[in-house]
Amino acid sequence: MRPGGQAVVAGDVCLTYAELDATANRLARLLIAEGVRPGDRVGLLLEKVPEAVASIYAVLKAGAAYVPLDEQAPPARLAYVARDAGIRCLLTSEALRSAWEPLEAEGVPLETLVVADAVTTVERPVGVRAVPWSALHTYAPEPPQVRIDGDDLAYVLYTSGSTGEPKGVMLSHRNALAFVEWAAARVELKPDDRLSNHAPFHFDLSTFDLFAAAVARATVVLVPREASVFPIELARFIRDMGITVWYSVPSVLTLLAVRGSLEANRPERLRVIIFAGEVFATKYLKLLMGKLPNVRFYNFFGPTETNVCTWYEVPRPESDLPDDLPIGRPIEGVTAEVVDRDGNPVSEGEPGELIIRGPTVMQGYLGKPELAERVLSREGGERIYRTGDLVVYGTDGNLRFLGRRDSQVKSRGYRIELGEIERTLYAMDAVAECVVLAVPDELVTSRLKAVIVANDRLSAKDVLSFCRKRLPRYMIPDEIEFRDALPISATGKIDRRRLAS
Amino acid sequence: MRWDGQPEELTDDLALIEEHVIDSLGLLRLVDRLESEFHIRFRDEDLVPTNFGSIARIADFVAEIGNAA
Repeated sequence: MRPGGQAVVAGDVCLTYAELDATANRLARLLIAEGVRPGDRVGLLLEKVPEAVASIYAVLKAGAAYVPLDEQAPPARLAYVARDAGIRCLLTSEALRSAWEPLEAEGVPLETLVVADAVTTVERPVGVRAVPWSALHTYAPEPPQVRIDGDDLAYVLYTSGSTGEPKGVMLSHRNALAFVEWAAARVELKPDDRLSNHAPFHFDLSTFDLFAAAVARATVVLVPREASVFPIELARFIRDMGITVWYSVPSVLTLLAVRGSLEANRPERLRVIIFAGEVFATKYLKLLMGKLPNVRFYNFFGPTETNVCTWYEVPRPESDLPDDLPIGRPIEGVTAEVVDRDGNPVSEGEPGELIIRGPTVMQGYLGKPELAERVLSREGGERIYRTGDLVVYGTDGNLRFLGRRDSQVKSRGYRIELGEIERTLYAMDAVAECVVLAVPDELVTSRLKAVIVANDRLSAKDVLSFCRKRLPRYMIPDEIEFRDALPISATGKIDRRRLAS
Repeated sequence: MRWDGQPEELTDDLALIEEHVIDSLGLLRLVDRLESEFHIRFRDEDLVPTNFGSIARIADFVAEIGNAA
């Protein structure tokens, strides 16, 4: 235990492990005094401030589960999540008043607000008790006497549901630790490591940042959203904050590679970059790897329901990288199976659905057991999750991602993975971003539409000509649309649903 | 860029970053668009809040580069 070691850094503010622990204990006692009981879900609506990290631990210490909310979500969506999760207590701040104030009008039965940047009284809705952060000092800094079991809920992360309503993925302490302990060992975290936390708290990447850092007694450096808007500022942030391990979605890394002036702003201490959540277009990955020759790159893969389930270390030289980067092999303690539509293991080299078995598999969807039943099962004390991801084992023993079950489409009688067409388009230098959609068609089942953001002059003719050289006839896009931008979802991924509508 | 507010609210001086109108990907696209529309090239060091913090600043900066060319 390094009580004097830095636990959390946010700008100029730093919390040691001792300070973090004491603050979390006080807050946990406050929450219990305010009526939070083991098993309750407590909302977290805070930005990248040290109080947010203390809040997370406080909720856990109180035996409850934290539900991180997206402050950029529209009120109706936030309200849905708050009601669905049964949130009665919310940890938030004055700075985010515009996000939580509408909740009451939306019918969320909040009882208590704990306001992180409030020193005295807080103006709040009638019937809601508002507690300023300054109240903490009246509580003891020793841990509250709450029994916590490994299978107790630790947090609930909301993801978009195919039915249209978001669903809460329930994750236990054991779920989190199974991933976090593996990850910390995999990238060899040491106490002198400084991990970035770029991902929002409602995105499961943040569980690595916060908890792997804690497990290794390392430091987590919170990255405020403003710091990553301008690539050169982000490059300098990474350098100046001495970040050693970076974990994020690929898009921010692409920005860094393309516009970050990394040569002039060398992040000297950076030794590991992990990316997840989306395909990292090989051309941008190569560019970044070329600029950071001393950094090890890892591809982590897995849905929120299992956290990371497979991993792949990207080998050098990057010039040899294929267009489809493997998602690799299962993490330790987890089993990956590839099955056909009947659930039977496929023959070697055949594509199928990825099934994950092991301790990182979620407990279920909060309040939606019928949805969980469709994808979750138990066998011999283990939980098994059907990912809906189509994968195939390569001859090198690494898994490759082919597409989602639901982006496997039929066209002209043929089975098509939209992802495969996208990868081909990405191989064109002039294609900055692209998405291929299946447009329902009476005659051929699906017509293929490519939506492309070009970074240079590009015509539909160019695209078709390129595709014709690489794809079978039935996979050539029927329609090509050029756009200035593709819509992005709250987690930073391309929002296919918006494009399809 | 994401703007869900009223058009009148998107004034020349609105702090684009603080108000979350622009995010990292939005900035990159805006930059690409400005470069192709005005036939200019931004250096990486030009992409900073001083030059892109508001519409007025962007306009000023583009003019500056255009004149210098």
